[in-house]
Amino acid sequence: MPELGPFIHIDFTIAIQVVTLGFIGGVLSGFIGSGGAFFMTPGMMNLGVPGVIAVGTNITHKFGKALMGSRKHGEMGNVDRKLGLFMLITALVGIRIAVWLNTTFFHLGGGEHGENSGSAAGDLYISCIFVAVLSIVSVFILKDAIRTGKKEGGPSTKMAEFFSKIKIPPIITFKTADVQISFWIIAMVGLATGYLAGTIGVGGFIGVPAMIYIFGIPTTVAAGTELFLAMFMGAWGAINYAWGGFVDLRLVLLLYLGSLTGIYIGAYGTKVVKEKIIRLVTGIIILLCVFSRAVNIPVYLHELQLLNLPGNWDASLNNISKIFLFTSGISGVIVILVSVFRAYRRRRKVQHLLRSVDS
Amino acid sequence: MSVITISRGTFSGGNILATRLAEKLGFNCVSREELSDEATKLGVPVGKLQMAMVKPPRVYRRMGRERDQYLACMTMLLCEKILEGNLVYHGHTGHLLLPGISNILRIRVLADMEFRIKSVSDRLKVGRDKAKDYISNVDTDRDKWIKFLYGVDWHDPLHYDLVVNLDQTGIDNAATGLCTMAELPDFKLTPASKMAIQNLYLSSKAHFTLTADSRTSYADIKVIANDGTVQVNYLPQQSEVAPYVEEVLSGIEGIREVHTTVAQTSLLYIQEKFDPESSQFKYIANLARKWDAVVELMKMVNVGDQSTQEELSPGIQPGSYKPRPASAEYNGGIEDDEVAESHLDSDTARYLDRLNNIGCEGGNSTFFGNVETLLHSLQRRTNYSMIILGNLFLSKQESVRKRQKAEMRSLFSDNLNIPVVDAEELQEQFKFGTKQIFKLIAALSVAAIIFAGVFTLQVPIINFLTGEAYKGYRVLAILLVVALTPAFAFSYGTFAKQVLKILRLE
Repeated sequence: MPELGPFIHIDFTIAIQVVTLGFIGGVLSGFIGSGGAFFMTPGMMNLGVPGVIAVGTNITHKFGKALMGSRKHGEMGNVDRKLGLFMLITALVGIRIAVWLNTTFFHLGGGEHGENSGSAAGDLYISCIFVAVLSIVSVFILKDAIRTGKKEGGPSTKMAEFFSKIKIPPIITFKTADVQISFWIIAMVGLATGYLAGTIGVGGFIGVPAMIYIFGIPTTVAAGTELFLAMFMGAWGAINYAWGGFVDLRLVLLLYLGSLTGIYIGAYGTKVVKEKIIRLVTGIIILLCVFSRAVNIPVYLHELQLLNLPGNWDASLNNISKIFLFTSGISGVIVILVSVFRAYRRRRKVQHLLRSVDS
Repeated sequence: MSVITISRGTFSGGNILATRLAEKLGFNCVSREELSDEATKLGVPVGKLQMAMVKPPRVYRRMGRERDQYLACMTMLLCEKILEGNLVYHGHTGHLLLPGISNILRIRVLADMEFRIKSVSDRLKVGRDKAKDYISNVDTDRDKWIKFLYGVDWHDPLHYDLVVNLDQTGIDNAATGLCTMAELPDFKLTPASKMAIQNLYLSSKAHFTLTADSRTSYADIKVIANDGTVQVNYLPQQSEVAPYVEEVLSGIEGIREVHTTVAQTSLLYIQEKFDPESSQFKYIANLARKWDAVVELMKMVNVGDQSTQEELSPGIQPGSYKPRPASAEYNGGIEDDEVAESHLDSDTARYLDRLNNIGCEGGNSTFFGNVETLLHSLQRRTNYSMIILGNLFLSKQESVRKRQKAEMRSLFSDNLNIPVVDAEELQEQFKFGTKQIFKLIAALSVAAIIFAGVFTLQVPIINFLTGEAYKGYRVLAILLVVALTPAFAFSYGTFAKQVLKILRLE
């Protein structure tokens, strides 16, 4: 279908793969509390979707989900609207910068004869940012999970204590989150969150840890505020990418088919799995996603004629990348489903025991 | 029996007023500092907790276990003193250590800043500026301390029955005035309040004992006591404490039975009457099972509600009317003394049995008071995942009942930071009837239409979104994206939720 331009042709097999991506992303998203884009964006890129369209599609997909999630958190008092609004000011600027850079790299083209038909420069840029940012995030999460595993407790407060010493005015007080932070720190975090949400679609992965580790606010408020923020960032990102013609509505709908079912199962998992395990699973899955994307970098370099690769290496590396990605997603989902199943069994056992005592 | 709590700031004269008042009334007098010293002797890290207040919130927020131990110990010590006889307690917010106990006279003492500065200067032999700084620092630390312990702003006058400004009143006049007030029947403990104190004493003693014993100290537990029966709830990941609970509590006088239940979390179900045969039981049990939660039953007895009193009074047949004696004098609402004699009613006991059979029993309590006093009581017990409001205001007409329940829900939602739901809504949530089938079909239809439309017309839609020929309509393209996406998410999300509900996986 040449009239589809940079958009991929979707047959039944591709559709099933996208729905599976959505399901795994949804389960992980419900379990981890972040958007799940860290899995869905590279997954779509592995299917041949140009990076900029994968990001644009993902941010649009996230917008609809965040719209419902934020209302629920708001009802439960987990949203610090003031903090959300302060972060939003700079996050919107960050998104605009990200969209401009993504679009520019996409128009640079590259690899017209390769698998990704002319988006190698953009894909390389997105993959490099993905690998750089998420490898740091995953190592940080894993380190913290292992550290807190030794002595039960909340997340590390070292960074928050350091940043709380920075008293550059104006200092803003946030009542719901119960913290005081310099506006400039909020602005920087907002800018980074917006930039990363716009570049790789994983703003929540930066926003939530930043609020927990840098601002030192409770995890529930951080997650709720991020959802509130994601609603506006998602809308702004969707508008910007749609303006550039980089949103594939078909992929958005297919992702929803999987993710809106998966998210409930993931959310159930959080009620029955220990926080340490949640952090460990999160860290390992992200790390595997990072490997998956890193494996693809030589392919883009080859398409841009910056690296020589022998024979069929492009296709092989792309397959290895897919295997890494799906292994991480499927094993993560298995861990969650096994935990859910074990929780059911434990409950049944208790009930059985109680009945036998009664009789 | 009477209990007076005096809430005082630093050097505000509350200390002297409490002593003077106790002398005049012939009551025992105890200060927060004395109880605190006793708690320290019992091994509670009071100093460590207080020192944490000068650190950022994220540091002391992690000391939840130490805070629980402190609160359990202070509540136990205070109840012990109350059970010894009439008491004047002076400290920060003593009444908050006694959740669910009504008829306490709660006084807040204020003093002019100049009076406080002079007192500090005289006592500590420091200059005016240093005295001012001292007061400001101590006040800030106390604000944080009370917020940390009870999550409230203690300056809010709504926490007290009376706020006394000693600036003009003076200590002697205030003491004389308060003596008269303390004699009012409203501020005498009723047998119901005494029973509640005994239950609170037993639960706090059991809780403190468990936190002080090395075999159980690390567990996040919840303890409820009712008439000698102690219910201990613990988290599944800490199930290794279960075998020790009974052994640790065996030495406590007054405990007849100990029940332990594993729970990921707990739900509080408030009703005036518990019917074990009601259809709502199924939905509550479903929710508890899904969440791995225990259900704590709270029977609410609205002391201001005449019909409730009639129902609870002995000798009254259902449907009969007990007129209020014409000559009845105002007695401050202590006419519900009979309530104290009533133990667990048979329906509530059966309800608890049914919960016990499915491993979801989380204990029970009876609350005597109105919605506002219940709110104050719950503000200290925030470890519930959800509060469910069941059959309440039963003496009222249906429309009034609905309105009052909606107001209660909104009040609790605003002040407790815990989801508050109506049991009827919960029923709706789990029910799958005609309405839900219609909802499922409607949602699926909308989602299917959008889906079919996008895939049937994929080439024109993609051209419209990206094509050069449609550049002038870019705004319409954006509108298409931002309108279709949430519409599909909402309709398909509703469909998915209903399907998962059928599969009991939501």
